[in-house]
Amino acid sequence: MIGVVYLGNNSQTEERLKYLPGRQVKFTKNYMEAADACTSHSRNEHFIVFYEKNVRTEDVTAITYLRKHCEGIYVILMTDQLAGEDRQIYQGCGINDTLDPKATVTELNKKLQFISDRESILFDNQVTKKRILRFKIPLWKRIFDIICSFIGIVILSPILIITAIAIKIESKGPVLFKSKRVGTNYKIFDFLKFRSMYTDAEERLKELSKANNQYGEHQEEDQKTTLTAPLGAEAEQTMMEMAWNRIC
Amino acid sequence: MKKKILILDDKETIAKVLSIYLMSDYEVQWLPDGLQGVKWLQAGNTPDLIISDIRMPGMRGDDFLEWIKQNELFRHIPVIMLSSEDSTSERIRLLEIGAEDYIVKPFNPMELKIRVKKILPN
Repeated sequence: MIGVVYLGNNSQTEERLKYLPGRQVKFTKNYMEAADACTSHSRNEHFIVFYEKNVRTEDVTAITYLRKHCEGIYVILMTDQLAGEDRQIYQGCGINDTLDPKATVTELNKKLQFISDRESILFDNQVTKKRILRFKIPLWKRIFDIICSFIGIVILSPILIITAIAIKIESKGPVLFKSKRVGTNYKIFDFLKFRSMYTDAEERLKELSKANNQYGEHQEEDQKTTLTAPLGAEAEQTMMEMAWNRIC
Repeated sequence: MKKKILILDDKETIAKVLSIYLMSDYEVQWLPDGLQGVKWLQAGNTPDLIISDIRMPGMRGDDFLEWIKQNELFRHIPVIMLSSEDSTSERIRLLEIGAEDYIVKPFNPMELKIRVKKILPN
């Protein structure tokens, strides 16, 4: 059960608080009384304090006192407006929440219900600190990758060089094709492959799509890929995926 | 000093992806639900922007949005809502509560970053 304490002089708020269903509100006029009210009830472990905003310096003194002397309180500042500097000061001295002084009985009750439903978490002083964990590749794995990839590149280099020369002779354009891949920790890197398509493959496809015949589909693919594509595909699987990209 | 963004999402993957895109320009803090967000704010933290999912355990994103927009201490903080529901009525409802923007999942992180930059220019 959460106790409710009101600290202030607003008769209208006092009147509304009297009508809260199932709640016994303790009305206090100064922070000493309020602190006493928040500690004297043995059956209540937690208290919600409705604090009527007054002069800032006095409010800071009162709220700081309450925070220091009462454990397990949730302080709601009754105010309809807070300017920039006020926000920081009131937040700094320990205000949890705010509510319009003109709040109806329903709104007051809604606020109380919100806090009551989450009592175990809201009154727990522990704040969860979550850190976004990043996967760290072990050093031995990194060294293993680099050494093995390097050996792989050296052994396969004759085949790779021949493939590169063949691609260069067969069609215009670069030997390697860069493709984006998502790596460790979602880092995007350039994945290198031997180029297996013409650089103007898309234009060729558009032209071919105009030719409507039963072999069109097969022809389209044939016209997009180079003659060395099968060779490149074989080589890139052995070299690119296993070696260079692993080093990167 | 980098501006601070609070991400509220129960899925760590979303938080990771967002942090990768935002970390270069902003300080990013991630919490798994709205209630932890409330406690974090009450502990004296004030982010410059909040990006919140809607369906979360503990406290839903729309309840969190309602709480923050009724709170004079934090109502000035802009909130971008992430939702898997692409419905006009849902969008209107959240914008009416006070959300700054509404992004439908799955989203392009680059698009989100541009929207964040519009709200929080460096």
